[in-house]
Amino acid sequence: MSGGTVNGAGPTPGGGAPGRAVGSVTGASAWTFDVAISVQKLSHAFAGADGRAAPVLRNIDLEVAKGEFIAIVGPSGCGKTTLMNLVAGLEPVQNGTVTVDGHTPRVGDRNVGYLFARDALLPWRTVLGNAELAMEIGGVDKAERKQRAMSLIADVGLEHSTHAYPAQLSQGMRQRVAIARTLATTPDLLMLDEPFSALDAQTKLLLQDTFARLWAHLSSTVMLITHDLSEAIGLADRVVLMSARPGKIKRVFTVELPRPRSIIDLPSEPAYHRISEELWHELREEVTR
Amino acid sequence: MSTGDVVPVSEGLLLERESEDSYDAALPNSLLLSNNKARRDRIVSRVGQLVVLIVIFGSWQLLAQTKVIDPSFVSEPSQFFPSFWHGILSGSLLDLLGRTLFETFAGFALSCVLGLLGGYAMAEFKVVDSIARPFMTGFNSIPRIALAPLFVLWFGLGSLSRVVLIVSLSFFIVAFNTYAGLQGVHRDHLLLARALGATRAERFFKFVLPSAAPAIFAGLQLALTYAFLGAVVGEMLTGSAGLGGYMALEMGTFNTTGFFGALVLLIIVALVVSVAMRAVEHRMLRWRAAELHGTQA
Repeated sequence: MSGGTVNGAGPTPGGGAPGRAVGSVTGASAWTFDVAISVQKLSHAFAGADGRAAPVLRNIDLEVAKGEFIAIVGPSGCGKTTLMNLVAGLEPVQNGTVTVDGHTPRVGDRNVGYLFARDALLPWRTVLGNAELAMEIGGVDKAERKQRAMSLIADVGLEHSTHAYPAQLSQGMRQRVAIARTLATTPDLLMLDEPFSALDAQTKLLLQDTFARLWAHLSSTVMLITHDLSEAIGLADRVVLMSARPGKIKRVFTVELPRPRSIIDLPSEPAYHRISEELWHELREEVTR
Repeated sequence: MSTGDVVPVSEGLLLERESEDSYDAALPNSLLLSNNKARRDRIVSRVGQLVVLIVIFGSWQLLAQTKVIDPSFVSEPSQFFPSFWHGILSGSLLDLLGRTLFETFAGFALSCVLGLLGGYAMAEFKVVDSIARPFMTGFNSIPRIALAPLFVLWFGLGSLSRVVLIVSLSFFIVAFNTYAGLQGVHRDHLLLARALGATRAERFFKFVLPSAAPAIFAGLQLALTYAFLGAVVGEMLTGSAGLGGYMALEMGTFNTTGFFGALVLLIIVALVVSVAMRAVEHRMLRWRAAELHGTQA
């Protein structure tokens, strides 16, 4: 990654020129980097309605460096979420290999945090209680839990609603709580499945910015699945474009925008428009295919 | 909406909260308004209830006194309220009530323990559910009151036969509600539990049980009503003890005044118990109020 935009310092892997798939890191063992996620020759199929196997993913090769922020975009049904489920260990791998931090992915790995489109807040817990949930299950002791939760609640801007119940919050506020809950355990790997897709345009921008700001303080690797190209470009170091089903990696874009970035100011960056146009051009071929 | 929406935020990210804060700031005002309205509504309903009571007992008194209805059938409020009050002061009604309440709560407690365990077992183990369900449904469709004489035959004239009758009524209510509640947990929450690496116990106590609590509570309330009913009816059928026994005895001697006096106590106790249950529920399930009424916790 010639731009060197990976969070944290150090040489970073990835194909040299944009457009080359990341399988090329094989020779990178001399580099001092660690691979967070490694996907090799991954293919996957579901049982179709007619009982025949319907291929969803075909021959995916992908490596994500530790601390890297990767976004995956593609037309609906291209298997983005399946890819994430496989990396998360929510579904068993059929063909190929997937490793996370060198191990087979395992559901409930406490080093992995999730953020989904639906916040899944527990309605019987207050904002504070929900923010503490992941730490509670992770075995963090009570005093530290509360302190960390309070500081994250302030970070996401909900310090005046600490004792409110989810039903008393707007959608955007609820997702802020979910962000606090997810980041509270400082996971090494964050899996984001369209986390802002249920929000209105303005709230979405604000939350993307909040997330980017908080992530900048962490060293977490992020895998973001999204339909929103500006979200992908604004947040990620690399954007992986997948083809229509069965999903293959069509192209990988390296986002050479300096950090820290402001999603809200992005439209003033020429590089943003260049990547956005290219990405949209290629995506359109897939969507309209 | 205030300025916070479109202002480019470069560093001072604090600005971003403006739009959502205005939502927050609007809260106290609307809360105040609805509080005032709620108080007014409460006063209106209390006064209305009082008027209804006065109309009922006033016309009752009038009809009985003018012999439009034979007072030996319906007694009259001026007679049975003093009878009720005398029974309280002398302690005779309270002794009877003590027995009835003992049976009610013993039966209710037993139903709770068995019902919660039964409902849990059915929800947790599919085998238990599939084996037990037809029997439960079958037994539950029997009018249990009809079994009361059988229970007397088996368990005697004492409290035990009433406790058994109560359990036969209340157990199913608790069990079915517990089962339904435990099944009703949201799949997003289960996915979250899985993703967070919750243990089996954590999954149950932090995710499943709290989501089942409202259904379980509804079951407990209904079960308590049925326990009370079971105790009184059981006593009436054996005619031996408790408020129900006393009422059956008074009825047998055409002492309608004594009967209605006891009935007044019965109604008051039932009301107190149900209000207490609702208060406990409200305290334990505060979040439900937030859910049902939006912003007012």
